[in-house]
Amino acid sequence: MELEVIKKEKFSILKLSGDVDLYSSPQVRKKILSLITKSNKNLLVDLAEVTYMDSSGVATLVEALQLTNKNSGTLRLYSLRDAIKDVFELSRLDKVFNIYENEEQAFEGM
Amino acid sequence: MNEIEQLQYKLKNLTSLIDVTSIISSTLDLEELMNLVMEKAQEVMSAEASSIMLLNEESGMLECQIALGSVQEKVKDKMQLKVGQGIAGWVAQTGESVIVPDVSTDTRFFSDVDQNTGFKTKSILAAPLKVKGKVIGVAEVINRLDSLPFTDENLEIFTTFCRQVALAIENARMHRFMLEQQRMEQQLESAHQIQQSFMPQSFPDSENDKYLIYGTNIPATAVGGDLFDFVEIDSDHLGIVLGDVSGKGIPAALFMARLISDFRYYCHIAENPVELLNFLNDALLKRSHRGMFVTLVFMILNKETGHLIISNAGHLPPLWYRQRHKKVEIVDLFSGIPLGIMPDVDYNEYMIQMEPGDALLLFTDGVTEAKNSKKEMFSLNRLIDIFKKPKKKPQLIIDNIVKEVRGFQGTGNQHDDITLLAVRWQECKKSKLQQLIQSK
Repeated sequence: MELEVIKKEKFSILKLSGDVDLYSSPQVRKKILSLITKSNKNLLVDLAEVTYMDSSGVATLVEALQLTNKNSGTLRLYSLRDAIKDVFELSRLDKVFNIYENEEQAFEGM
Repeated sequence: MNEIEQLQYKLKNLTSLIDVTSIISSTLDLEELMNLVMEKAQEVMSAEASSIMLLNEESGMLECQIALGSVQEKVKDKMQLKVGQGIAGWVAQTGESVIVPDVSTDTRFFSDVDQNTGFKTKSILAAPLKVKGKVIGVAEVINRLDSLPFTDENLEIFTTFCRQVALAIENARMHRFMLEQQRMEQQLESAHQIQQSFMPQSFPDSENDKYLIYGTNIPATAVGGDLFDFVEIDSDHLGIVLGDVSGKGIPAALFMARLISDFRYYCHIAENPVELLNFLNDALLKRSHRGMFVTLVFMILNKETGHLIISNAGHLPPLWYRQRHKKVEIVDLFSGIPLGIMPDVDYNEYMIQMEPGDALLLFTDGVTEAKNSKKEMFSLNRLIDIFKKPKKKPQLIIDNIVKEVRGFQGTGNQHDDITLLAVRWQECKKSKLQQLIQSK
């Protein structure tokens, strides 16, 4: 798993790639906690290169969602591959997260 | 030394080496071992004091583990040197032994220890403790009692001592590591047994033979985050739950233990499945930790009629084998989001009427996502194909699925917990009165 951060004026972008699972999600969590601050409370997560996500990975995104909600910020996920989309749809988490098809749509209104 | 003296000296050295070997094989207590060996070294070298410093890999410091001599209390466990600092630090850095005949003329000497303790170091013999070429510490003997400098003969025997000591330290460390591992394994084994005891050990009996029920849980590691349970709500109704806590291992297992106790409590308070899910959701949100959540199916079986009310919180849909059509239906029209993510969720109920020969299967993703060596998944379709040919007893249905999953996985590891639960509504049995009338 690899991660890359791009900081914009009003939000940060976290690009994840590879497997987000029990072993890699602590690293993702650490990064997310450092990115969501009171001054920069909006986070966009690019999942285009994520090939596998287990429930530990999903829990990390749930924590990010709870944190942005608490800070009145926004969390958006975008460019999910079909296998990752299935993970969210099967557990009905597509109803919980703001999920966008691509970067352009995810950036709209930010 | 004349020839006889040399032979006597060599014999003495050999005897002391044999002594050291027998000390080393006598104990696995690291501190006791190092003490005994250094006492012997001090005796053989006729030295005033000695020490062993071991390298702490985390801090990169040499830490004094053993100090023998008049100021041992002031040095042991207190003295620390950086690698490269002092004579011992130099030995650790270079991996070479050294004789320092007069420390006052050696710039490497670190005099702070003498200043702090009042000890007067004159000469030093220092050698590295090496395991597979890697320095793990440094041993020193200090000041010969006859005030002469240490000799090459002293160095030779001391280096041999140190080789033995280094191996003994490594052995003792390995032994300690293995004991620690054994202790962890025993604790995990106990945790496994305790966790299994949370889940039903026996299955609810159908007094009228109308239904049969069976469940199993196979964690991927010693403990896991899947659960299933039954609660007798009243004489006619049985509450059935199956769920999956996010993550794996000990955090998921502890979360699961608390969830089962919550489930048993709220089962008797909630009026219906939706209310139960709301109670559980509120309870989990209050102790939300690191985004952990639970997907779960809860259902209430009417034991007289075969009527089932099902509520689903983001869990994989139940499979319903319908004897009438000989087909498997996926019961997935009504699920809400998993528990523990956000408040005020609208959960729904779905009702199905079991008919004779019907069976309902609940399962976790450890079944459908089991992987073979080619990284292919077992898949929902495979599960449906197996469930299409149901056996009469739920235990046989489940044992057969587990066997198929195991066969599919081959020699690969089980990555996720596997939990399955099946309910079968039985063929109608004729009452004894009906049988009697028919036979006449």
